[in-house]
Amino acid sequence: MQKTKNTKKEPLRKLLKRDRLLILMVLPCILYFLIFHYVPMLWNVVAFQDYNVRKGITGSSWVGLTHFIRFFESPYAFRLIRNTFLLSFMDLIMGFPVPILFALLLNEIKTNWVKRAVQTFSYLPHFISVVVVVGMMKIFLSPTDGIVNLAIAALGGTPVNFFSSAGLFRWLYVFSNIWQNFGWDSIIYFAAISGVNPELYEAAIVDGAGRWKKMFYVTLPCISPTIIVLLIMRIGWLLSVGFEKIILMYNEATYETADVISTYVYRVGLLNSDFSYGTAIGLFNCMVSLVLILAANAFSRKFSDTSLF
Amino acid sequence: MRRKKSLRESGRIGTIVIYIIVLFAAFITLYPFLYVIANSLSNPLNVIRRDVILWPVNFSLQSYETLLNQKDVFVAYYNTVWYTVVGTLVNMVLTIMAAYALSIRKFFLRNQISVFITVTMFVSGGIIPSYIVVNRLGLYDTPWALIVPTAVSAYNLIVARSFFEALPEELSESAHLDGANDFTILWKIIIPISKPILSVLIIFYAVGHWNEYFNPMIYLKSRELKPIQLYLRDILVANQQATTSTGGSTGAERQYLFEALKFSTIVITVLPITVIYPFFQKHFVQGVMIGAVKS
Repeated sequence: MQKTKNTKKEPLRKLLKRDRLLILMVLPCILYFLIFHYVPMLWNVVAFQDYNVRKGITGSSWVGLTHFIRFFESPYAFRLIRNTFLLSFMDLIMGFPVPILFALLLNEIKTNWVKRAVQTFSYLPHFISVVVVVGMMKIFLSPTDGIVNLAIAALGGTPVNFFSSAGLFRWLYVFSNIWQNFGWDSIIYFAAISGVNPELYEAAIVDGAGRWKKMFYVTLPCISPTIIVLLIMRIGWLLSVGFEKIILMYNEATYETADVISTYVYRVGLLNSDFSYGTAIGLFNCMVSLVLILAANAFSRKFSDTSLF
Repeated sequence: MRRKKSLRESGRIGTIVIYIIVLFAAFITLYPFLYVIANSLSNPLNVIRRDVILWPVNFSLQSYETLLNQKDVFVAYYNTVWYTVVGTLVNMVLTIMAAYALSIRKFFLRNQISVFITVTMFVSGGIIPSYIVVNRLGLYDTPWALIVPTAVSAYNLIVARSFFEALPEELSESAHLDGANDFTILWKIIIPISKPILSVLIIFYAVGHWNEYFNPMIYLKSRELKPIQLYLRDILVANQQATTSTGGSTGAERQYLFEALKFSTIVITVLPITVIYPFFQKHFVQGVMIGAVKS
């Protein structure tokens, strides 16, 4: 406290001179965030215009909330909002517990090299690009010669056209996400588990607790603060669905369940060059996620003494 | 006695169940990769007949020979390497410098700049405004469109800053008294003792560049600038045979060479990362922990 008061009293010129090298070091970063993060925020004003690239911001006409109204009156608005929430929600509910379970189970394996090897393998998918992941899914799930359909046919079933089925899209999206991330996401739970005080286990053994009891009554309560913090973070990021992956996975046949706000923004704004309309929808998406993050943070501050900021 | 015995027995069954589940998880994770590798090393005829399940059938390098004749693949691969090397270099220089400056407690703008940067993790300009800005800067369809707009990641910056903050302050202070300036301290003292965390950041950044497809897709038009991920998207996801000429005299031959090509291209794209990341595994925990705690 005392220290900050002292520095505040020093004249700005003197501080600038003293910290000139530090300022020089951080300057490229400041310029970067200014130009590529703050300037785009300002460009959101085109959401209230009929932006024309040649006329620029000053020459384009102002239209107020027209684009927002157009969006909410369009038949797509409901579908997009529903899909965005459902997809992220399914991803959260089904994806969140898997790394915890994996960490708990792997922790029970006492053969060290098996544990290490499994852990290393489980990280692998995390480092693979979405293009390769979706590409492999297309190879495996191909309706004519994918290995999954060959297996289905061998068992006497009828082949499924996975990628043109709107009903299956969400499952494909969620399960491939789990496949790609469960290992990596378990790192943090591993660290938490290895931080549990061994005396607690010893006490539990004295009380006659077996493996499962130790897991449920010692390990799980000890790592629950970590679980809660990560859960709150995930809720805050709920609306940032992996649209880069969806763009690779979806097609007209699956728009009904697959099309989310950000993919629609991409199609409208970049593929059809309707910049203003796309920006308006993107701005709406950004506002909703900001509210979610702030709410998650406030909630977390109130109930668990931890907050993101 | 009896109770003890049954307890031990149930413990053994539990161990078996756990082993089965965990090994099954490992198998599920690995199988797609084994399948791709096995196919890439099989005779293309067996590939198209879907004879390959886990192990190469009629071992053949024809898939890789076809790959060698793809000029597009070479160009795309070279581009990806270039974007990854240059991009990661820019990332690291900017991140390390800023993280060091922001880790100095007496730096009078420290808090303001930290807030300025953290805000960008929660509020973004959106795809289209960013696209407009990148275009107006004249970056469209230049290699720099993949370097400059992703020059720093706020998350990685915060990880590095937190790590530097945890270093003993006396280190830099005594160097200061010896007349060393901040650049010298960073280069000679801080960086050498921060190698583990910096190697994690290099991996995070490099993997990001290596795997990037969305920015190249929206910012690059020229075919000769495209990275390998876009090439892969064309042949795997869009199934565009037209972009490649596999050779082969008949249509059927072209078709099966194209199928084989898919597998060898996946292998060469995935290989560099899979070979490198296990070496840094023990440092990942630290990187992820700092990130989770601080952000």
